[in-house]
Amino acid sequence: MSWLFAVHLVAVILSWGVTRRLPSHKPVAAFFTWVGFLEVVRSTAKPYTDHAGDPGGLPVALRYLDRATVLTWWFFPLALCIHYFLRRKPHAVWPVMVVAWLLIARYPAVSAEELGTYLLVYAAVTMSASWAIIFWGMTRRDDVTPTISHLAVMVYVAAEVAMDLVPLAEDVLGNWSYIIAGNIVLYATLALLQGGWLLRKRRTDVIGELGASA
Amino acid sequence: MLVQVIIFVAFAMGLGSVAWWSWSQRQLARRQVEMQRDLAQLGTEVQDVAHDLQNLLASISLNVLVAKDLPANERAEALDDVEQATWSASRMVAALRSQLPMDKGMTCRTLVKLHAALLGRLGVEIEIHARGDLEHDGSDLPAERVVQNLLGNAVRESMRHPDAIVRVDLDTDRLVVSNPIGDDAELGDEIWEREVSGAHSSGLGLSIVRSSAESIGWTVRHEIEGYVVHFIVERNASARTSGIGITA
Repeated sequence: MSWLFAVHLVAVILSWGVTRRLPSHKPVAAFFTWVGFLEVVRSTAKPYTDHAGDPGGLPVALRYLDRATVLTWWFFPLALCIHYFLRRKPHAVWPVMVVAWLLIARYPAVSAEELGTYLLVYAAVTMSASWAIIFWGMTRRDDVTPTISHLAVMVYVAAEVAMDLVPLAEDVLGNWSYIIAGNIVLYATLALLQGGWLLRKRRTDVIGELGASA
Repeated sequence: MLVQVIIFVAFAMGLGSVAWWSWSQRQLARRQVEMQRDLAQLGTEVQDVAHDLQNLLASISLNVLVAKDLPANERAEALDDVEQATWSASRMVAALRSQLPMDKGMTCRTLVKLHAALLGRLGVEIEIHARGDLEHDGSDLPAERVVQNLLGNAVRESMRHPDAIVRVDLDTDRLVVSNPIGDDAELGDEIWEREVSGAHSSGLGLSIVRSSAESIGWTVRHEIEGYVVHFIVERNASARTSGIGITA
């Protein structure tokens, strides 16, 4: 877990570093920060959410937060896809989240079957919509220029699909150790990509300055 | 299983990266094509302006040369025309540099008189029949390029025929420039195309006339009557219905 926090923290710091050079990267940096914050909260809440029974008070609040996080997670990458690949405001995503919030409000009265159906539909719809938007933007939108933000979103969405597909195929969905391992690989890759971009940018800036002063 | 997840995640991210890379390469290639097209367009514009500038400067130079031997009052007139022509040359360069057009609000009639005077001093007789003035949209620089090129072509062709007269008819709805042609001249519609010439010239003049005319709401065409060609410039609205009554 500490490895995940470490690589995640590096990826978040580098994403804000990229934002300083490329302001349009801000939504990606904000998303990684938000995800990091949620991971910390979820880890804190885990002993309570795993605990049987209904203790009330803070544990209940943390349990609601945990559910809310899981049930709405994929809407944020979807919003990023709309923002970066369609160049539109992702307002359309937020009303869809009402379904998730209704489930969260009814928690823990929601049955496992209900929850399972929601998770399956939600994952299938959001993942396929995300990739449909990405491919649409890549092939049909001439005004979309590929940047490090697009690469980060594509890598994130690809990794999330893999992290959900493999455990689903193997019937081990929700296995915490798989999610941690997958996320370590994901955030290490994102840190490398963003770090590489920053290094390259710095090098081209230095060459530009040398050229200007020559 | 853990290794499987890691490998699959890495593989998926690799696919995502490859998709992004191929997309960025395609975008790069598209931008390069657009840049090349823009450069080619700029090259064409530069070539056109160079063509008009060269003609204008040749005309200025010859007028200054001729002006030296003219009586005082005619010399003043010639120098006034030269001054106008240098102003036109300056405007062409300014337009190429995307600067604001420095319009002088010159009418078609004024332009015809100016360029007829400049070219007339080269020894070709130019007869002007002005019964009205042809209006145009936007800047008067394209209008000047139309008049300059049509008259310049007409004068050049007339020089090949002794005692030839260039005739200019200007009315509210059309401008017609007529000049003699040789019996071997081939003047199909292709003469309006770029770098196509029926008279062994650069083949740029008439294509500049057409593009300049279109930019200010004029249409151009030509008709042949025996050994005379009439270049007809009309306002867009009247272009469809009118004819000048000349049969080819």
